[in-house]
Amino acid sequence: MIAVLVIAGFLLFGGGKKLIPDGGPSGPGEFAFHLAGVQASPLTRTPPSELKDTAREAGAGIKETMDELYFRAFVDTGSWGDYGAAFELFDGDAQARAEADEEVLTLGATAKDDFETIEGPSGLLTIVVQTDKKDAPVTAIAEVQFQADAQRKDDSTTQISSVGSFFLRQVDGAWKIFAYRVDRDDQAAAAPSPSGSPS
Amino acid sequence: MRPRRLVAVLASLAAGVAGLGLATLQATPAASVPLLQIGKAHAEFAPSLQGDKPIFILVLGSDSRPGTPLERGLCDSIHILGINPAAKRATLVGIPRDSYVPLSTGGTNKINVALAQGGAKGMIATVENLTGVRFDYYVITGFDGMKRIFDALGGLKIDVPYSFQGHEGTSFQEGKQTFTGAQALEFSRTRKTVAHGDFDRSMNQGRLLLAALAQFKTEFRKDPTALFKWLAAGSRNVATDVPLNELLTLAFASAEFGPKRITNLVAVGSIGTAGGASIVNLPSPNPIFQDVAADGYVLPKDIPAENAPSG
Repeated sequence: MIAVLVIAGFLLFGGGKKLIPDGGPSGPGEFAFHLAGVQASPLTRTPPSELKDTAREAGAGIKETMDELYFRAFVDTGSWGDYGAAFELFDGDAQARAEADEEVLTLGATAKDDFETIEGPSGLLTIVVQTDKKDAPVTAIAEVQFQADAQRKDDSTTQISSVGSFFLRQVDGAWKIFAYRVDRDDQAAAAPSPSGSPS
Repeated sequence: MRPRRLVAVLASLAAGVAGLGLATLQATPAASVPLLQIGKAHAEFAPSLQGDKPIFILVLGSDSRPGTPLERGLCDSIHILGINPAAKRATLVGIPRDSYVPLSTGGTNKINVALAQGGAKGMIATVENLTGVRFDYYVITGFDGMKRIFDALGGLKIDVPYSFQGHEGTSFQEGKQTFTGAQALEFSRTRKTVAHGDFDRSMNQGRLLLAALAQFKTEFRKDPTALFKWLAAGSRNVATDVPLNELLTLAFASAEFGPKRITNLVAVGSIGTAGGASIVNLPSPNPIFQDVAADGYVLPKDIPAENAPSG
C-alpha cells in the first residue's frame, strides 16, 4: 500500500521536481510557506477579532520575509555559500549574529560543494502580530517549521529540518528579524536497497 | 528624569516551539528508508541591555480606586528597580510607604503622599532626592490594575515564605501556590499581621515582582508568544513612560535576569510617630541607597540583616 502511495506521489509531483506547498503567490522564486494562521495580539483592549484585517495585512509582509529567508537560505541553489540576501532580512545587531549562525540558519558555507539539489521543500508558518496603543502592527512572532531533502554529491540524502521562532518588526516598510531561536535537526537517509520497500 | 536610550545587543532568547509538531508538516518527501540523526544544532539571538551604566525604574503601586487617576492616589508600594546590564544583576529596593521624608512638593510627610500631591513627577523627584538615584523610567499601577494583570496571566505562581492571615481574611500558607489577582493584591497589602509591619509588606511586594519575573521567564522559554500576552496584560493595566521598543528590550533582557541574580531588600528605619501617625524614619545617609545608586545593584552579602526582614 505504501509503495502505491509513493508511486502515486511520484507521478503527481513529478518525482524529483520540487514540491511547492500552497503558500500563496507571494513566495519568492520556488518556495513559499503554507500560512497556518495569523492572529493579532493587541496591547489595547480591542478584541483581536476586530484586528483580523490588520493582522492579515501585516502577516502578508511577514510571510514575504520568511519565504525569502528560507528560499535564500536553503532552496535557491544560486545563494548556496553566499547568504548575503538572507542576512539582509535581519535587522541591526541580529544581522551580525545571524552571519555567525550561518551553519544553523542556512544550508551552510560549503553547500555548493556538498549538495547537488534540494527537493521537496515545505514549511508551515504561524504568525502572531502585536499591535500598539493605536492598534497598528508593531512587532510579530513567526513560528516556522521547514523541511526539505538535500541530495548530496555522493548520492546520499540529508533530510533538512529547521524549526524556529522569529521576532520581526517593521524597518523602512519591510518586516525584519530582530530576534530568533532556531533548531536544526537534520537526518541522513540511507540509500534505498535495490529490492525496494518490503510492502 | 534622565532620558536614556536602551541599546539592543546580543543575548540569549529562550523560546520554545511547543505545540508545533513536525508531524503536521505537509508535503514531506517520501523517505521510506532509515533515518540517522546527523546534526542537531541551535542558534538564538535577542536584543538585550548593553552598557556600563545602570538603568533605574521606579515601580509604584497607587491605592487609587477604579475611576480615579492612578497619579492622584496614595502610593502604597514604592520600589526602586536597579539593573546593571554589564554585571547582569538587578536589585529591588522597597521603600516603606510610611517613610517620613521631605517631599518635592514641599514640606515633610509620609512618602506615599508625594504621588497624590505631585503626580508621578512629584513622586519621582521625591524618591530621587531621598535616594540619590536618577530614574530612567517609571511604572505605576493601581489595585484594580494589579488584580487584572495577574488574572489575565492566569494567576501568579509564588513561593510564600511564611504563613500569615491576610487583612481581608485570606489564610496565606507557606509554600508554593498560585495566586489569583485578588490574592496577589491582598498578599501585597497586608501589613498588620506580618511580623515587621510595613517592612515585611514591602518585602512581600518585592516577592510578587520576583515571582512574576520567574513566571514570565518560564512561560517565555516554553512559548515565545507569551511575551505578547505579558506585554498586553501590562500595557492595559499600567501607566509608564517606557517606550514600547525599550519595553521589548527590557522584556527580552529580563529572561537573562533570573531571580537568583536579583536582590530583594527593603530600606528599613526606626518606627516613630508624627502628628499622631505611625511613621518610618530612614537613616541618612542610607548605605543601601548609596550602594544601589552607585551601580544599580546590591549583592546579597552586602545587605545588612535588618534590610531583609522576614525571609
